Amino acid sequence: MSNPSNAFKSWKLREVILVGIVSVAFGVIYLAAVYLGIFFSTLVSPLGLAVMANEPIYGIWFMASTFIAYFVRKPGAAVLTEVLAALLEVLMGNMYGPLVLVSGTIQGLGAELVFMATSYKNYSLKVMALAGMASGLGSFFIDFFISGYTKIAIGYLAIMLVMRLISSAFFCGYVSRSLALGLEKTGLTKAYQVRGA
Amino acid sequence: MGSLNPSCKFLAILLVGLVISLTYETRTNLAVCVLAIFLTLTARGVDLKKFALALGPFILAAFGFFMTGYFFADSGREYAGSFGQSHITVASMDTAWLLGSRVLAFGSLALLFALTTQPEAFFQSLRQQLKLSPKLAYSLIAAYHFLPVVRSEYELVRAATVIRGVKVWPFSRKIMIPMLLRAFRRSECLAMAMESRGFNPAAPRGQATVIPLRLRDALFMFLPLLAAL
Repeated sequence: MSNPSNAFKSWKLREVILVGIVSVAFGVIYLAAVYLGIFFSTLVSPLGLAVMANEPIYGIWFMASTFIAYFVRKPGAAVLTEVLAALLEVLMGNMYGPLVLVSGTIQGLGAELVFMATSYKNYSLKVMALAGMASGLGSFFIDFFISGYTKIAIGYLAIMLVMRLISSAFFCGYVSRSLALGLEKTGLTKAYQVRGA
Repeated sequence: MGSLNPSCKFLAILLVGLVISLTYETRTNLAVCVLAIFLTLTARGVDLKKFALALGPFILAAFGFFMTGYFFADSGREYAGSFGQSHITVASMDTAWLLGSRVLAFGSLALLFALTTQPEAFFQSLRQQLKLSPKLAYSLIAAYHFLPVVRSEYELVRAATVIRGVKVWPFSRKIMIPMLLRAFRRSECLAMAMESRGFNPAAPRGQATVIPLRLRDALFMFLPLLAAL
């Protein structure tokens, strides 16, 4: 395992804590989403569509990282959020256990690359949606191994991928950003210094 | 299980998970699943009710993967020509078992870790053995301890919107904004509290509780490696 400590020397304590607390808050909300997802996928299980049933809400899993990246505009924000969220999720009983660390890192890297390409300056709707889609792509790649997608028919996978990308763009772009803007309006987030939003 | 070094346990289970992800053997998956459940049930202080409740959704998910494998298996283009309809049925049955058993194996490994590990010990061990920076480790510990608070807060905010007759879905803005606002305010307070009590991530620090790294931890880590070979 790599040691992320050095890359985050410039982070303030309250930023790191923010990542943790927001991850926990999102974690609680995810849980409601997971039960909803299981309910739907059980309904369509007999048709063999269960694996697909989660796709429309898949983007929810990457929301925290684009949300945090919006407020903490520093290199590594997206990756760190996914990694810390993964460590917390393991203890909260995520289905994939310690493996979440691997998928979380890859998802975070996806979003990170997009923000890096804008040198951490552009957080428009388009960029955040792209970051979400990059996370979605990363998660799809890792699911090839973890969830055994290699054994599923190509057509089925293609539909899944399209649904996942749309959902990622919607949740990480539109929802995450509108939440961030809503929070900014309250004025309580000033300490986190968003410039030129 | 409970007394193993959390970092070693984490890495060992991660390794087993990776091996499962890269192999396609139903029998291995089921064996891992049985072993993990056995280790969980024999560990000290595992809440059986919690275990049963947590396993339920995993079984549903495994069933979902099973049916997907059954209907939408990649039918193996290499053989598609030489075998008839019957071959495809056999192949998809195999895939169904493979995908289903995989989810069960992951789920039982996840529970093995989550139910036998003390969160605080896990983060301390990440800091002591894997050299996670104290800033990250203590932030995680602080955040984790707020889990029950955030959970009841979620119920509270939801109840508050329901009582006003506002229809909400689980991640509506009306719930998320108040919860995230509290998260911001809370991290501000926490950081201030920690710093005002002299928390300095750069200072050399001692350990109130030392998480030991023993021979059996090393053994537990290398066992799956041997088994994989």
